[in-house]
Amino acid sequence: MPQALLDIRDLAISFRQSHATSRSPNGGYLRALDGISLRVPPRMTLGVVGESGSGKSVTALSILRLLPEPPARIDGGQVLFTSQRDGEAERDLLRCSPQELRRIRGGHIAMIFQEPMTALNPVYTVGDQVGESLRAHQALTRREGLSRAVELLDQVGVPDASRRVHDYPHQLSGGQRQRVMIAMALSCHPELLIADEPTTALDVTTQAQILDLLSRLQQKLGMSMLLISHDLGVIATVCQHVAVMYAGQIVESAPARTLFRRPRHPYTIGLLTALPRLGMARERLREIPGRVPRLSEVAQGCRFADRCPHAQERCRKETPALLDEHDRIAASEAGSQQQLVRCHFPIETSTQRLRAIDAEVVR
Amino acid sequence: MTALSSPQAVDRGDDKSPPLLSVRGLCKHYVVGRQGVFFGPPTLVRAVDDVTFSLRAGENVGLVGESGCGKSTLGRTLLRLIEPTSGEIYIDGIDVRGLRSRELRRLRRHVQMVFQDPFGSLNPRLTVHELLAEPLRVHGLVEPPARGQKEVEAVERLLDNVGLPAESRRRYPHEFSGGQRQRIGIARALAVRPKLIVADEPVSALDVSIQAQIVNLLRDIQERENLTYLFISHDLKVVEHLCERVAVMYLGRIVELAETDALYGAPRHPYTAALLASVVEPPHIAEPGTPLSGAPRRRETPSQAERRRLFLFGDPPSPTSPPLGCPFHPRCPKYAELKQPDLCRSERPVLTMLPAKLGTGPHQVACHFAE
Repeated sequence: MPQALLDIRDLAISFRQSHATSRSPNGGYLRALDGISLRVPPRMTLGVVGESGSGKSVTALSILRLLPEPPARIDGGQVLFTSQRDGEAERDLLRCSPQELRRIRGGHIAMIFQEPMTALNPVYTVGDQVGESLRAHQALTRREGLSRAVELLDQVGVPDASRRVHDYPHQLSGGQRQRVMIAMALSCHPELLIADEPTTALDVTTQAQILDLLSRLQQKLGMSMLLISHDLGVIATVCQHVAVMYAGQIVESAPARTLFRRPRHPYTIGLLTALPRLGMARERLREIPGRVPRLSEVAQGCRFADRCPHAQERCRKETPALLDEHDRIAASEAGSQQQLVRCHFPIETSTQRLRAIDAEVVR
Repeated sequence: MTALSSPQAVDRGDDKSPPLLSVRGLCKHYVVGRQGVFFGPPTLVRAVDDVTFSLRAGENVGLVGESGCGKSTLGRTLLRLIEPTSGEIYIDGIDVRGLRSRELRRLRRHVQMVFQDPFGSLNPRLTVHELLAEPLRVHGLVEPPARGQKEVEAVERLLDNVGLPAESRRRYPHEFSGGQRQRIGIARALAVRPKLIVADEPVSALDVSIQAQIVNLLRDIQERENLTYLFISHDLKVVEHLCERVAVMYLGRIVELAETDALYGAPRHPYTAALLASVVEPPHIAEPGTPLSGAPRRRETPSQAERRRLFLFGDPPSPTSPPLGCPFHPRCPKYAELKQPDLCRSERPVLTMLPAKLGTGPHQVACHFAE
C-alpha cells in the first residue's frame, strides 16, 4: 500500500461543556469524536459526509490543530502527515511544536472554510491577504507578493485579476470571495487542501463553478483534498473515496462509486433514499425516523440503533466495530480501496438492499 | 415567438374557478441611495418587479431562484409583511392592498407563513402552549378562558397534527431540535386553519434525514386540511417533489412559469436550464432489475457532459444596476451561442405564453429566443 499523505489513526476528541461542574461525569467532557481513522493518499480526494453534529468539521479542524483547547481536549490518536517532498519524515501533527505547525499550515496543508466573508479580513485588500502567506512562507517582498497574487487570482478564475487585487472583500460576490479563499490556500502549493463545506453558502450555479474549479485544480496541481460536506451530491461530484460519519464515528467508508451504488450501512442507505431527486416519481420520501442523538445521549451499542429499521437486541448492547467485508477489523483505515462498515448486520446482497429500502417504505 | 396574450389572460385559461391567489404587476422597489451627491434621482433596487401570476386552490406553486432574486420579498409582500410599492394582490377575492390593520388580521386567517429559520421564528420566552394558543385567541377560535380545557384540547390537537406528543405543550422552544421546532412553526401556521400557506425555505436549514420528515409532513397536512402552498425555495429537487407548477425568478422578475413536468423536462429559458444543470446528485443505488435506481423515474436527466455545456459563468449582476435589455444576457449561454444578438442587449423580453411542448398547461417564458 502506498504511503498515505495524511493518516489519521484512532482520533478521539472531547469537549468540555460550558455548564460543567466538578461533579459532572467525566469532568464535564463529552466525547465528540470517537476512534476516527482516515487515510488520504497522494493526489486523491477523500470526502467526509455527515449531518450536523456528526463531527465532520471537528475532524477537519483538529488536523491543523485549529480547535481551541479548552474547551476541546484531544483524548488520543495520531494525525500522521508524511510530506512527499524531499527529506521530510513522517510527523504527528498532534505532537508537533508550534513552530513546526506554523510551517505546515499553509505551506503543506491549507484549508478553506464555509463562509468566505468571515474568513477574510475586511480591512485588507484581497491582494494583501493572498500575498500574506507567500510573504510568511517564501519571504517575498510586498510587491512580489502582489504580482504573485494576481497570477493566483487569475488561476482560480477571478476575472480582471490585476484590478481585483486592490478590492476589499465586501466588494466581491460570494463566489468570488470563495475563489479568493482558494487562491490564498493554494498560494504556497500545499500538498493537502482541506475544504470544509466550501460551497454550502453559495447558490447552485456558483456551487457548480466552484466544484468544477476545485476538481480541475486538484488534478492539475497533483494535490490531495479532504472535502467535508453534508451534501451527498457535492461529495459525489468531487470525491474518489467517501467516509460517512454519524454521531462522532465513521459508519461506512468505500470508494465513491461503491458507496453510492452498493451501500452496506443502513444509515447510508437511509440518507441516499431520503433525498428527493430530479425526475423521481412523486411518491413519499423515505424518512429516517427520530433525530441524530446528542453527545450526551450516546450510550452502549450502535449509535444508529434507535433509528435503524433492522436493529436487533445485539445492536443495543454491543458496539459494532468498523469491519471489512470479511468481518475483519480493518487492517487499513478509511481511505483504502476496501468497503468498511460499522454494523452488526450490514446489507450484503442487492436483494437484501432492495428489501432494506422497501422496509423503510413500509414502516 | 408569438405573443398570445395580455398579462390578465396569462394564467390557466382552461380553468373557470376563481384563483385563490392572484397577483398582477406586483412591484417592491427599495431606495438604497441617490445618484450624485444629495439631490440626484434615487437609486432603486427592484427586488420584485412587475410580477404577475396566480394559483388555484389545491395547486402548489413553487417559486425558485438564487439568493437575492426577490423570491422571499415576493412571499412577504403577499401577506403585507412587507408593503408592496405597486400592483394588485387578491387572495380569495379579497383585495389585500386596501386592507387596514383590523382587516389585515382577517386576511391572515386565510394566509399564513412558515419561515426558514426554526430557531429565529419562535419566541424563546413562550411555552409551546402559549405559542400555539396565541393565534387561536387572537382570532377568537377557542373558547376562553385562556389555558382552559377547550384551549388545551385545541393545542393538543395541533401538536398531534404535526406529529409531536401532547406533553410538548409545556416545554420551551430551546428544548426541541431543529426538525421539531419546524413542526411547531407549522402547527402555529395551521392553528387558524388557513387556505394558503406561504412556505419560505421551510426545509433548507434541516439535515437530510429530517428534511424528508418535514416534506412528508407538509404533504400529509395538505391532504388532510385541503391546503395550498406557495413554496419558496432554492432547492429544485424539493420543489419538483412538492409542486404542480413552478415559477423561476431572476433579478426580481419571473423568467419562466410552467407546469412542473414541462419546466423540468424541457426548460425553455436558458437560466432555468442552467439552474437544472447545476444541481448535483449522488448516483442512484444499484438494484437488480432496475439498472439505474430503486425509485421509478418519470424522465431521464441530462448527462454530465450535457450539464457542463449549460453551466453559467460569472455571478448574478448587481441589483442596483441590472444590465440593459435582458437582465440575464451577460451570463446567458444562448446569447453567446447566437453570437450576441443586439435584441438581447436592447430590449427586455416580457413573459410570454408559448405553445405547450410537454404536458398540456400553458408555458410562459421571458426570452427573445425561446423555442
